[in-house]
Amino acid sequence: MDFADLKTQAEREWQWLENPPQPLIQIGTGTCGRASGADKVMESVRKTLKKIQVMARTMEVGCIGMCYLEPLMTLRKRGHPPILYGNLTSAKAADIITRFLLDGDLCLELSICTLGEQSRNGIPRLQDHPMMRTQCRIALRNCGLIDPSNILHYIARGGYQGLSRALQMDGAEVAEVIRKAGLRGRGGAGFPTGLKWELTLKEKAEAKYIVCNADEGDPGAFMDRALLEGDPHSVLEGMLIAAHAIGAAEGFIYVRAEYPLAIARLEKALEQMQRCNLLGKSVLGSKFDFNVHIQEGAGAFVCGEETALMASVQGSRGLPTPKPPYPAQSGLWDKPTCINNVETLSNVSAILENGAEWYAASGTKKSKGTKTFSLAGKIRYTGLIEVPLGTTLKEIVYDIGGGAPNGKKIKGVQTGGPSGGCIPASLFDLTVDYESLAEAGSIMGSGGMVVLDQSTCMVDVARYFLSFTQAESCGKCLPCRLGTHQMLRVLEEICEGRGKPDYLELLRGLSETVQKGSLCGLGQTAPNPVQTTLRYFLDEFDRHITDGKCDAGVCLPLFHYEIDPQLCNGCGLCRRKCSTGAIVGERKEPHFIDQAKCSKCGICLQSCKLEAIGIH
Amino acid sequence: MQIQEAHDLLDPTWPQVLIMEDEVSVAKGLGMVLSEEGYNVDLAMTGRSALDTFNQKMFDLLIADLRLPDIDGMEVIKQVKRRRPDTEVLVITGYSTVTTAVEAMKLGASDYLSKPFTEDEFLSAVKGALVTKEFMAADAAATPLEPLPEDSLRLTEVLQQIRQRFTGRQQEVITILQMVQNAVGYIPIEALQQVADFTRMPEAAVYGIATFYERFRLSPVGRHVVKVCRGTACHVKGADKILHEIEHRYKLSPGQTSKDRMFTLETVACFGSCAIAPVVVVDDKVSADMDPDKVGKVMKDLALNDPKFEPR
Repeated sequence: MDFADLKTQAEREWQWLENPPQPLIQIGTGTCGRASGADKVMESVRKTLKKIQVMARTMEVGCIGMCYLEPLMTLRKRGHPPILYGNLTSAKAADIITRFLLDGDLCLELSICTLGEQSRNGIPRLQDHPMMRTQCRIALRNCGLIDPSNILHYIARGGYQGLSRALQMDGAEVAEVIRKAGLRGRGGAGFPTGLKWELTLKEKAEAKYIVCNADEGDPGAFMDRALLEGDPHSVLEGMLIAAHAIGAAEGFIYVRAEYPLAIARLEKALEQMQRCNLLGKSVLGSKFDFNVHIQEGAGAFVCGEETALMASVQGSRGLPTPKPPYPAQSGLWDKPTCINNVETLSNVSAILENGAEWYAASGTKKSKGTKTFSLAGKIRYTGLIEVPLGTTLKEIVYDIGGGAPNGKKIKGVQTGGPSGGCIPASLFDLTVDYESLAEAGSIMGSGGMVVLDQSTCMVDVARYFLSFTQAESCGKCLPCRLGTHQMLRVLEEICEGRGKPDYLELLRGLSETVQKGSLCGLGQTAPNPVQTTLRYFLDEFDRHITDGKCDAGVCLPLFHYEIDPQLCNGCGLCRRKCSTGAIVGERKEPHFIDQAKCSKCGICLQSCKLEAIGIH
Repeated sequence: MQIQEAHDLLDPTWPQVLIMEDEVSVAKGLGMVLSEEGYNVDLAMTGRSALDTFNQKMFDLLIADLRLPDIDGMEVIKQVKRRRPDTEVLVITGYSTVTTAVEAMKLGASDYLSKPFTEDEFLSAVKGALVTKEFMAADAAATPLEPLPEDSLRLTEVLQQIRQRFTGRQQEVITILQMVQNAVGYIPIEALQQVADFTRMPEAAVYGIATFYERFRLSPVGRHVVKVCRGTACHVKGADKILHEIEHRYKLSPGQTSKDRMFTLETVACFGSCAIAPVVVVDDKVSADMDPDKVGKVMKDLALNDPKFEPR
């Protein structure tokens, strides 16, 4: 079948979906959705349809990014705009299906928004939702809207158009398009993608390789998972375009084993590509031959580093090697190799479809286009977002993320995972792009953003990241292996209340040594979380060391809970919740905490409706 | 009155049981049965003394006769449940009617036993009541678990598949080890030798790979693997407290398996489900928005639905 036929078939199927003859129910079944109960919702929907005897189709879609509302369901019925419902349970889903399909009741109270251009009965459109209003979706263009296991949906939305265009150009021309678009690596370092391709293309060799880095190891980041689960073809198309540009006939996707659903979706996608002549000999009738292998990672963070990743693909321990030689010169099996991140490749397919100028229109002077971020931590609207580069942190945290839940005060945001840093709320006017984040001492990283509020202890955050990098250090370079270990010990002592004033100087010194004396990015950036917390949250270190206090109530030896007898009305809620029996008091009389029995689990603090329990 | 002194080696981690029964011979008899099984038992002959004892000590289980010389047994249960709702209650009585049974259950009793009953019926009711308190999986196995007989069978099978599917190049070694672990649950030492043979790599190199990557295990695991995510979002939302809860309840540290092979506890750097943090993954199923309380329930349900589950 040639591409034109495929496209016609795809468009027919898509039209059916846009204006379905029978109702269509789409449920988001990404990992987040499933964890929140999407499977049960799906089961309940199917049962209900049987019970009310309505012919309707159900379909699995990926994650639309509003993870705090999971599980999500879209109901499509002729004569109505598609309506999205959230925070579902089996019972709520059954209720909506019955009322909507039998009585035409739109169930306004459970609706979130409509999809598309129309609103209905006061239900706002998706693009008017506070979380979505300022977003600009390029990499995530199809996530949550298409069935990721149906290649026709992807094609109908413009998929593989870019590839078919690229196949009519030569490699240098394709690389030129990407260079003009100004796309930079989305894995974190921000190396210009077009330049990387040109360098690999320039090398003369009998074989070259393209690698897709889907080893999303940064704790706190899940953009790549959501993208692979929700729209695997956009990444695979980008990979084919990259392979054609650099002259590679074989590619590897290195994906974390912790992402079983992403792996399953990729496998399914590859199978469909085979059938559609998008893989194998002469792709889409051109002279380009290409094959892809999926390589599962095995839980080593350092394998996100490109030289370590290549060692792992070749079946060795994932130890980094010095650069140069760069992978573009000597990579997998000493052949020129180009390694691109998942999101980068998804952008590539969009750029080839829509053109370099279109892409370069968004973003800043040096950082073009959009970037996806996973918003998590102490924030109201957690989820996956995509914004033009140059958006301020304030817009992301307050406008899109809705600020902290329960009216708490936001302290800062952690970007870039263990290689990044903590940016205080006072710097939230900072624009998000590669340069300004680096200036603030953090990095863009792959796009994890963990919001921290007043109940987060910054010393503990620094300790947490060091415990991570210390455990993940591969051990090759001594300054990294022992330096992170020493830094962790110092931080642990501070958290346990045994910190001394000269420890801060010690931390600064160790940071510098680890940074300068390590071969790969892991060690070079491991001190970043410590350095930024020392720079912006020095007062918290001082409180820990000088006063022996942890005001956030995180470092166990440095605080205790107390009930304010003036505020306590003796309702007994905290006493009943306390699992160690540490709270005593008569009914309707102020209660007290027996400090000897208290395990500081904090359940009392959460349960008190009068805020009578304080951290001291 | 205490009969604990008879036992020199009392294990404080075993459940504390209070028997409230006015007939001395019955009380002592039941007490003997339980302390022989290793439980720590206190006796109370009246409702008042039961409440007094209860105020001095923490108990996991109250075994309550409803007919008492002073206060009504129901009243005692009511007070106990109000003070420490997590105390389990097993009701025994000679005057059983459906209404009293229902009333006791409404107050939170977990089971109801009418006299006369056999020793076995009594013991299984006690164990059943304590299941809800999850004492069955306490005590981690200090040494690595013994392989199960079916392990070697599974290994032979998977190695056969591997030989058919792969060509024995070094680049396949990580995928091969993944397959072995998925089939057997861990990588037995003989698997390392055979994989080295097949890929023509030195055994030391294969061992090096199996120990470098966090995911590979070289010793057997329990029937259910509980993985606590320690990603950044999970951390700031209380993953440590969840981990402590499991460590405390099941006496397990990360990497350990309970003696009954029910649970293996592990931690993972990040599952990438940060928007619904904190998460716990049990047998590859992700549970969202966990807290110490919820994780206890998830594990309890697993244990109760396990065909090999035996309450202690």
